[in-house]
Amino acid sequence: MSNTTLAEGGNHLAGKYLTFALGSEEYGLEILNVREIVGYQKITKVPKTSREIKGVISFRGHVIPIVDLRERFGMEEKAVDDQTCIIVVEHEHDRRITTTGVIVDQVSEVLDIQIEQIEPPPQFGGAARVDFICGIGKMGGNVKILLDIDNVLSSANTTQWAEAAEEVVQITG
Amino acid sequence: MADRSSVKKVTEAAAQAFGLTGGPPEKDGLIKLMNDLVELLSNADGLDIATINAVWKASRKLQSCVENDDLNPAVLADVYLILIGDEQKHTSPKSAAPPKPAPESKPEPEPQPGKPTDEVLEEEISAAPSRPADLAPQAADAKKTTPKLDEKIKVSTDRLDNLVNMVGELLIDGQMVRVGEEKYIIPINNIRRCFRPTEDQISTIHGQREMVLVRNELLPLARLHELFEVEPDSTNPCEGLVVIVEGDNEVCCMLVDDLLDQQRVVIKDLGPLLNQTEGVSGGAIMGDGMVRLILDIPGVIKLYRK
Repeated sequence: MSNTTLAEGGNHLAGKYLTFALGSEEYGLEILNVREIVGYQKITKVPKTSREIKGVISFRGHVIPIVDLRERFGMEEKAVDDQTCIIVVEHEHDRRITTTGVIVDQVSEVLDIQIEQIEPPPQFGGAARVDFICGIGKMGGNVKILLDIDNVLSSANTTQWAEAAEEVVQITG
Repeated sequence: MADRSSVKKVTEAAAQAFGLTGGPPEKDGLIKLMNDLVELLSNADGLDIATINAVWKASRKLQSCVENDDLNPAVLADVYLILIGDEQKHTSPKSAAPPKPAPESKPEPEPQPGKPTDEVLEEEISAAPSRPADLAPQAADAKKTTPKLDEKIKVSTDRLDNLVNMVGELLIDGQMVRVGEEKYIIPINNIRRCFRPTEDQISTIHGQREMVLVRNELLPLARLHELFEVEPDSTNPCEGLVVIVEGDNEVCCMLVDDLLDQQRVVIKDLGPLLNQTEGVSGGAIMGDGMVRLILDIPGVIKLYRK
């Protein structure tokens, strides 16, 4: 798929993205999905849940679940430091708008990404899925993986995501 | 806006619907009663929390009765006693109009650790063996359902379910317990009593399942730290505390490290990602800003049985 193809059908992808780091990788989240960025705080563990769900916190009078994106993408665990943040996002889950917090290593900046700077997600063979990526932003020499947060936080197979994330970095990096 | 008089009116209607005034339990009457209760909940601005909780509890029990076509006199009596129990809290003993089934002379409720006396009283009321005996032979006659009735039941239960979804949040009185570093809230309505067991009260079956002998009754012992995979202070039941909990007509002993304070908390939904979590019915935001999980006792018992 070429840039032209993406430009024809992917105009909605252009816009502002909040970028953040997970290890050596840079990701982007559409700013309209971001509700707030809060510092890391004590999380109440919820028993009998999957590993990537770290627990719940109180957010503006509501209880919201916290998902560890490193776990979600099958990356190694990292100790919490003063850069660790929780990005509170709004996403669609079972046709309902839901608020969830995602733990990231570090929040970087808000970037205005033009359609010409966005490439379609690479196509992988095998079982690897790329439906959690809506595009790859190329800003100078840097690559930002633009996430489709609805798919990231749906209950699909995380192992496949981990494989896909690794391949994206290998191909684009 | 609903007020005390609306609750009293509904309670009186309940006596008739449940067959306490002489006739058999009337299914049509029960559905009407359920509608009335839903109506009360929909316009609950003028009611206090205790009444809302009582009406709420009665509606849920009644819903299950009507849906399962089970006019079990004991369950109907329970619903009635919940309503009448609340009504009596708001009226002087002399003016309690509806005919409450006369209980046998009861001893003073024994004070239980971590449980206010009025809760013990409420428990005594709902557990009292004073079901109206004359309901039993009439129940079978009332079990016949017509399609028209089914439709009415559906409308009523749908309304109640919608209300549940709309309200989303409810107040409960909870007992906070600690297991290792984690703290959980147990709804007080689910607690019978709590105590520190002695070694001779604990027995094991096949070296696996543990039982606690409480007042000549053997109850299974569920270790909360094992169910929820948390590190406890001690695994020895004699060093911890046992809370006897009850849910969905099942009783179980739950081992915790410590009992903390009691609080009235608002149940918050955990959201679609977590609302199917076994053994947890919701969360509560505490004064320190932390979220504490509210245990779903029937769910915890189910988890233990697995």
